[in-house]
Formats: sequence, structure tokens, C-alpha cells
Amino acid sequence: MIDNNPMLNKLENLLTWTAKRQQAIGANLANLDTPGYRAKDYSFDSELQEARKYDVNTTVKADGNNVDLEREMTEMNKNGIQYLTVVQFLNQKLRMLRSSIVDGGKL
Amino acid sequence: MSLLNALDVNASGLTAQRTRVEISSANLANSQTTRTLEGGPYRRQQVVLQTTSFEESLGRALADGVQGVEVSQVVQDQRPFDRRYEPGHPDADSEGYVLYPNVSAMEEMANLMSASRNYEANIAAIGVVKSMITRTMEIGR
Repeated sequence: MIDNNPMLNKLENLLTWTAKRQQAIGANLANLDTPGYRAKDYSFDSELQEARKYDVNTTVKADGNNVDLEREMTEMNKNGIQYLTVVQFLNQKLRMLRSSIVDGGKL
Repeated sequence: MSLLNALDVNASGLTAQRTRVEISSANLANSQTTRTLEGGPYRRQQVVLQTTSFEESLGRALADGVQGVEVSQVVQDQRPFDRRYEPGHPDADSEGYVLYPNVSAMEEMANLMSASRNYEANIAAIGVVKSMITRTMEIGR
């Protein structure tokens, strides 16, 4: 029951994809000045089954680089908050499961 | 763990930006240097950045091939030297002109500002990753 709990699985996927996104945004930030570098990001489908990589559609500068510092900082902070939220949800769900195991045995 | 890779990627960004600052500082420090080991005035140095694939550099099988950054080479700026009329200078030529480095203080300051701003962006990213990792440790507690 715990193993194939659909909500736990979804939260776990979301956590994995959010970490992946942080990696992509971090790479964009590391390559702020790399000529020819194109910013990349991930999007998830509504079922959270797969993450799709896409090229960020921002203005390309003269050196062929299109990393937008403000966009990346905003997305990074949004993504970080989302990660913390998911962990919070996950903890809540696990607490509920634990309390049903522990308190259930006391009856 | 992908979050640790994210740390490596941003660390590579820090190294690259720090190199830019170092080179710009060297340019500024030598903006009036008329004698070098190679002879002639100091030539402005420039950093060339390129992406590294962490798949290659760390030998890890990452499906998404996240790219860090590295300094591929430091090249010399081939723009002409600044020629100033200073007949009393020991390095003046027969016509009284001295060749000064092709360093523009304005350009270097702009470079320094851009590099330090980008350094901060990478620091901020590392901060976010750190808080994500810390929270991960708290799952199930």
C-alpha cells in the first residue's frame, strides 16, 4: 500500500524533476557568458510522468548566447520554493501514514 | 545525485568568472606597462569561455548531459597599441612616441562588473541547491 501509493509516487516524481530543473537552470547560470550557448529548461506533463527538455525562447545576444539572468534567477527561486513545498507535502503524507500505523495498533 | 551535479556546474561557473576577474585585474594593473618579458608594451589578455559536458569531464552517465563552463584559453587582444607623444620617456622611439598597452580602463571596469554579477548569480544558485539538499535530508523525519 505504501509502495504503490499514487500520491507518494507523484510527489517523488515531482521532486526528481524539480531537482533536474535546478540542474538545468544552474547550468544556464554557469554559462551566462559562454558564446553560442542556448539556455535549456524542462517542462513536465500534467501527469508528472515525464520531463521534456526545451530550448528557452529568449532574445539571442550578438555572441549567440541567450541566457537571461533575470529569467533564470526568477525561475530558480520559483523552482526552489516548489521543491521545499513538495518536501513539506511528502513529510505530511508520511506523517499521516506513520500515525495510522502507530496509533492504529493502540486500539 | 543530480543536485550534487548542479553544485559542480555552478562551481565551474564560479571558477570561470573568477578567472575573468583575475585577467581583468591583470589588465588594469598593467594598463601603463611599457616593458614586458617578451619585449614591447603589455598586450591586453582576454578569456575565452566554452561549455564543458559533465558527461565527458566526470565520466558520469548523465542522460541529460548538463553543461558546465570552462576557460578554454586566454588569448591576447590584437588591437593596436596606444601611441602617445612622450619624447622624454626612455622607451620613446626616434620620433618621440611611446607605445602604451591596448587596455581601456572603461572596458575592464565593465568586464569586472559583469563578472562579479555573474559570480553572484552562481553563488545564489549554490545557495538554493544547498537548501534543497538540506530539506531532502529532512524527508520522513
